[in-house]
Amino acid sequence: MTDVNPITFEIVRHRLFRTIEEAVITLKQVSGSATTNEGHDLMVSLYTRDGELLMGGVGFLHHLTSAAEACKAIIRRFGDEIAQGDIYLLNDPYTAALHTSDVYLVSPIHHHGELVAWSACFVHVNDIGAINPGGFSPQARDIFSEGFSSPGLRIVSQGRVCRDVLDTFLNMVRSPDMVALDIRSMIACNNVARERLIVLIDRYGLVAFETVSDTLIRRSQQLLEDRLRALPDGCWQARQYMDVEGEPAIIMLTLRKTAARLVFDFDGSSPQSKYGVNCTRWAAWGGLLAPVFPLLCHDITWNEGLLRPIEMMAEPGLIVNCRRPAPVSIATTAAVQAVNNASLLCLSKMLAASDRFRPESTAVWHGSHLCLYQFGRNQHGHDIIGSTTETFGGAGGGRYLRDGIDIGGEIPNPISRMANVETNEAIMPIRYLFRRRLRDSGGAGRFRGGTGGEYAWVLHDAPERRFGFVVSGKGIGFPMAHGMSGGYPGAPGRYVVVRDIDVLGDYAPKHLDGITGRHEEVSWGVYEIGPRDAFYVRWNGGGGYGDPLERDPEAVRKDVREGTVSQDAARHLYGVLLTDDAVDVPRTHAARAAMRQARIARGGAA
Amino acid sequence: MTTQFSTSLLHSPGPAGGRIACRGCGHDLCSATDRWKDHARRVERPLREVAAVYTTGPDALLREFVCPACGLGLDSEVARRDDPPLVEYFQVGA
Repeated sequence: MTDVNPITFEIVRHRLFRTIEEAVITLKQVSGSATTNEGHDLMVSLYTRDGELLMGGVGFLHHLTSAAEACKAIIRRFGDEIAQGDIYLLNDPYTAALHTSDVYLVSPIHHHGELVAWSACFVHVNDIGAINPGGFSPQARDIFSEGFSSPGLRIVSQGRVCRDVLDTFLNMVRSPDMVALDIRSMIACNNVARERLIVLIDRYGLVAFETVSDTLIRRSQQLLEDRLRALPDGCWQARQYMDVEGEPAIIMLTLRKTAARLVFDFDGSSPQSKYGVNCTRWAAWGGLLAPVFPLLCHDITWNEGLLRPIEMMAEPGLIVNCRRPAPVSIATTAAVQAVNNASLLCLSKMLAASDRFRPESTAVWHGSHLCLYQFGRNQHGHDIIGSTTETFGGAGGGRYLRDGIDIGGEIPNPISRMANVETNEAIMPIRYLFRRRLRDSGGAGRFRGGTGGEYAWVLHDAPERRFGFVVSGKGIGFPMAHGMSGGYPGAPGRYVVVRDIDVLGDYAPKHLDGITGRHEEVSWGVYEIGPRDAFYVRWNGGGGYGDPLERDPEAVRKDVREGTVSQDAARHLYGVLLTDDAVDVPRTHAARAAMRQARIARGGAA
Repeated sequence: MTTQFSTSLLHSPGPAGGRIACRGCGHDLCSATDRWKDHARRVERPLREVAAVYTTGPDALLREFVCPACGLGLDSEVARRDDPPLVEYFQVGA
């Protein structure tokens, strides 16, 4: 292998990452979807000529490896027909994608006619023609009801959009104008990635580019293996429950770590479900790895080298490795999310067993997406589909030495965030009654979980006096943001439709309890909101870290003062008694001692 | 030299993987290769009884493992009543 001097090496490495950053900016600026450009439900990465991960980008990290499989699938399918300037669409979950709505566009990158690399990106398109608007399809019972699905389609041929192919695709989706913009944004993104990479190779040469690429992959593998050797060998388990229509499914995960090898085993998980909460093998693999990147490898280049010391075991037919044609449209917010959470907990327990790496451990962040896809005619007379994106606001998990961040995002997507209220009100016929942090939603702990949030809206200027929505909630009957080392779970999510509300006039209720009417808990299905209805959503808080009775009483007092923890929780979860905004130290000491004794007295042998 | 098995548990290296003890009071629980939760107190209650914010279903329990000597919370799980405790242990020779 040719040597590359260290300065050139660092320049090329840096420019690979900047290529991705510029492609992400392009994607966001061309897309017209708040899900993409505000929620950052996206991913861009670079791949080797064989389709292996070369440089992982930002966005939803469980896509890094699935997009690699998409590149490999295109290589297998098209072989020598792959030409310079082509772009391919792939969204079949049984080939590589996570669910049909997350459409991959992958592009070969040629240099002087030779295939040298690939770029890949995804966005969650506004619609994919599934049985339910928006792509999450609670009513689907097989993949055939989950919309357009392709194992590989040439959508741009040698720089020219294949109009017949694109038009056929757009003919099968609702909201084709917005979906066309989604596709255009991904074409632009791939074009920018390709152009920048070619400029880089022109400048430094193909040999230098490939030497740096190979070295980065070998170096990442070596660094991860060294890190693993510094961690204790052992076994750690995590379990997640997904409640769907009263039928909880289990994702059971066992991590066995030996020397420089991690084996994740899903033995004990539920069989595949009749609902679209399943995921395919590639999706589970991506879900497992998403926490590995930020927790174990935050200072290592994310590429193929990080995958080599890791193995996944999942029998076909499990909810994490379902067989075609099982439905998977909700996978990303269901089985994949649960796999994220379980993987994070196993890794955190392993890290917590090391004096050196314990500060990297964390409770589960935002444990479950409380997604909401709305559809109908808006105030501008357009038939639209959109998501209110609060689900991307997330909540930080409590950490070894710090509280979780309130509405602090999520582990699998380091750049997730939510749109402004005004953005949503500008495109949908709705008016927010409130949106804010939710008191007591962060799991109690020595370091508490970050709060989740809550919001409610009513119809506003809706020409048809109704607006539909699709919900496919998990993490409602069972919280999914679990605690660490004695910390409590974050609050579960909740959807409530309030029917026959009192006329609001200028009065805007500030809490769910202030919205008078008939309250209906919902979690799964398709509903409509009318002119006398309100809709309330609560998204979950992060898990707590450590025993709540060890939390600094002054921190509890501060939480109460700021409204993130109630007086009641301060007393009953933290054992902290306050008098006139001050900690009553003697009574707090006595209360905590009594609570510890009560635990011992109440507890049985395990 | 004593290190930690987790944030709440101490680990003293020794024969057969060493010993696990409570970080709060040093109470000896078991061998590091054993299932330490079998040696802790187990406290279970429906999550909806823990705090008003847990609007969970009736089957969702908060399962806490506490030190039998000092009552420190060592670990917690969300669980159903009949589901076994989660396992964590060191491998012998680690």
